[in-house]
Amino acid sequence: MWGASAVAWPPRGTERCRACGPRWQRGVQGSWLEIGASISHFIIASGFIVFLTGLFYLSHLLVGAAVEVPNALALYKKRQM
Amino acid sequence: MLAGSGVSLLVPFVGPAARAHSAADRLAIVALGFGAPMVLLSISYEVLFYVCFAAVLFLWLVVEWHLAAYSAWAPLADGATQAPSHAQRRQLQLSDVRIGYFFLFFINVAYFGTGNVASVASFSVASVYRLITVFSPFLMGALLIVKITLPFFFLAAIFGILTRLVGLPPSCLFVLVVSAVDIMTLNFFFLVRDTVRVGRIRCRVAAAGH
Repeated sequence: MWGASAVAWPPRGTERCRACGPRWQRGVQGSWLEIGASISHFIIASGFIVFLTGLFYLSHLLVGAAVEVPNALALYKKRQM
Repeated sequence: MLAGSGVSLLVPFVGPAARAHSAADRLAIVALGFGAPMVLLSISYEVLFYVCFAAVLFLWLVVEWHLAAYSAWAPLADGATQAPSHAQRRQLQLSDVRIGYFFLFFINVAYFGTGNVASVASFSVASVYRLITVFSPFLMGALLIVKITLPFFFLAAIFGILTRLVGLPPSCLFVLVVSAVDIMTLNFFFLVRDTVRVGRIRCRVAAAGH
C-alpha cells in the first residue's frame, strides 16, 4: 500500500485529516455496529415471543386441565358464610 | 449420574403424585420437582434465590386471588342482590394489565436472578461437576441452560394457575402479555436502521483513487 507510489501519501494525508474533522462531518451515525445492534434487538424481542409461547405450553403441561382451581367466587362464598 | 438426575427431574411429573387435583398440591409438586435439579446444579446461593423466588411468586398468586375475590365481592356491597353471573368465567378487564405487567416483571427477575442469562458463555464449570466430570462443552452448556430456565418454568406454572384462579380462559392473560411484548417488538422493528452514512469511508475511497 505504501510502496505503490511514494507521491501518493500527501493527498492521502490530507484526506485523513479531513476524515478527522468535526464530529458532525464524521460518519459516526448509522455505523455497521448500530445496524447490527438494532437488528439484534429486534431478533431478541421476536425470540422472546417464541420463548413466551413455549412457557405457555409448558404451563399447560405442568398445571394441566385436570387441576381443580378454587375460583375467586369460592373465596367470596367462604367469606360470606 | 446424569441419567439418574434426569429421572429425578421427571419422576415428580409422571409419578402417582402428578395426578394431584388440587392447585396447591400441584404447585408444591412443581416447585419441589424443579428444586431437586436446582440443588444438584448449584454451587452456593442459587438455591436460596430459587426458594425466595418461589415464595414471592406464591405470595403474588395469593394477593391476586384475594384481589379477584374482592372485585367479585364489591358489587354486593353496593346493593346488588347476588354475585355477578360472569364471575365463573369473566372477560378481560383493565386490572388484568397489572397481572401481565407483573408477569413480565417476574420474567425480568428470573432473567437476572442466578446471574445474567446472557452470560452463559462465561459460566463456571464447577456447577455441573456433580453430574459430569469429563469436559464436554455442549452437554455442560445444555445443563447450565436447564439450570437457568428452571425459575422460568415455575413462573409458567404459577401463571397458568393464576389465569384460572382469577376466572379467565387459559390463554387470555397470555395473549395480553404477548400483545404487550408485540408492541415492544414493533418498537424495535421501527428502530432498525438499514442505511450507513459513509462520511469517513468515502474519504478513504477518494484517497485510494489518487
